[in-house]
Amino acid sequence: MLHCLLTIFQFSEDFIKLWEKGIILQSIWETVYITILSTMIAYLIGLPLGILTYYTSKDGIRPMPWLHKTLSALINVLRSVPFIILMVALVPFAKMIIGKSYGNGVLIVTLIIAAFPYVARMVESSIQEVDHGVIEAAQSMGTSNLKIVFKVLIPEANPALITGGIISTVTVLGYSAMAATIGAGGLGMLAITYGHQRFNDDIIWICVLLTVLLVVAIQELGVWIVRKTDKRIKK
Amino acid sequence: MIKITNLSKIFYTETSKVKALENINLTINDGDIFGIIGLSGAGKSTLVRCINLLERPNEGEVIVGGVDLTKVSEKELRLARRNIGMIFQNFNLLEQRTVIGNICFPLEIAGVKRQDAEKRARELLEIVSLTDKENAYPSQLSGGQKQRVAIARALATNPKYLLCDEATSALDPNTTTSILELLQSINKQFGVTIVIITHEMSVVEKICNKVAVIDHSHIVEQGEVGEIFTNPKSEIAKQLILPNKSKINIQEGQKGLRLIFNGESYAEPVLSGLVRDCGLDANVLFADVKEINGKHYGHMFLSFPSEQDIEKAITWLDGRKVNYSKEG
Repeated sequence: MLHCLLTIFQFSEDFIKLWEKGIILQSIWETVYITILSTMIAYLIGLPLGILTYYTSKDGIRPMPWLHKTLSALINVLRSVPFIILMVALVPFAKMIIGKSYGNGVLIVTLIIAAFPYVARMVESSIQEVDHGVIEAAQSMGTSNLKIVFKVLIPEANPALITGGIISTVTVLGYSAMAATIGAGGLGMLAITYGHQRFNDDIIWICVLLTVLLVVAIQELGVWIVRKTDKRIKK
Repeated sequence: MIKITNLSKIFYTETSKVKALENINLTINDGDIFGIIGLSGAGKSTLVRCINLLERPNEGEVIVGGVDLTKVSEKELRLARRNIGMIFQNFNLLEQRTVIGNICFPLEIAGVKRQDAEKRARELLEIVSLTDKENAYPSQLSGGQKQRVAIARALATNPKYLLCDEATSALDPNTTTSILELLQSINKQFGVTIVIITHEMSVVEKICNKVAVIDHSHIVEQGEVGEIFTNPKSEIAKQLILPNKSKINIQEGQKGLRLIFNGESYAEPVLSGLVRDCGLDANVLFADVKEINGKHYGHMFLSFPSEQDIEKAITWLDGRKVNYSKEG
């Protein structure tokens, strides 16, 4: 498939040069792994956080107003900072963690910080969709709160959680395009440094196309998984 | 036995408080099929949810099987709930689990081994006649089938009590009948005490032996179904049991009489006797007979041209076992 790219984009000499140096493939790979790694770690934080936010909400399993408000405020504050600003603001913090102030590692750290509140909201709203009656039925059978989370909320919200995961991944992929600002790689960097800064429109458009292809691939994968796993869909 | 004493429940909203239940006293004996009937908003759903403490009452005691549930710890309450099954109007099945997965759920929660749980689930599928749907998902079932799964699930842990919150309200009349028959057979076969919340008198008539009528947060009447049915005292019970007044349409100047038949008097040919012996012109405006626990209960609305005719009829009726009340 990758060699197809070479034939499709043969009209562009610059593309062929970059391809031969391996920069195109490397950029695609960097975008993919930065996106996936950041999203996964963001879920490690965001999933429990989202569940806890729902759990403590007014209509949740065990209402705890002050905790719910604190978590909700944290999520709102982090979500309202535009990523490019959050990214540069977090460079010193990222340096503390990985020892460098530029590169892919820094990008991943900042992406995680930007994405986990987003993920938490996504998870919270997915779980809110679970019918309250089902939770009550479980309670009436003597189910403990913890078991309600793991045996009712998460499995019942599963399709919505997967859909949310896909949306989050695409959002992170979009954010990752700002990589060039802090010297990280990927298709965003390629478009800015080899396209925009060298007045090379071919490269910009090729990056756009490659990004679109990646997004479509992720989206389709998600739809396929949901269709496979959601038992509410009649087959 | 379920014993509720002096129970009150108040809902607080930001601006006001709503009394959902006030000073409720109720005793449900083991083996009963106990109906709680009322109109929407009367508080009947809140009442049944107070029995397993899905709603925690503000005041009063809820004693189930000798234990006051309002006083036990959360862990003990969870254990007590395994002895109180519950089914709902909207079935509330786990959509992402198969039928057998749903029935195994309460057993899983109770820590029963998977193999034993599945064995028990298959027994229950047989009881609710759904053996062929073991691996179906709820979205593939009809309403009646979903309620059968819910019943099987509620019975999985062998509870002594089964609470039904408007369990047939979302079902068509035929399905309702079959679900009610299933509940009745569960009551007979396994001795499960059943509490049924409903707004339909027909549900109470079909399977309940006792009934409480609830209106505006209070229980206004309770007792044997036959007794309440033939002789409703409260306004709301009359509304639920007797036909709509506007439908009976007693004409201007005419007088009405309601004949009430209980299990014994039903066999007598009252109407023909009344007409023949007293030589009266009676007009039948409405008549209804129900079978409750194998006995026939019913009433008949008659209209007479004048007050004198009514007096005659009453004198005649006083000599027999038939009850009556003057109407209109």
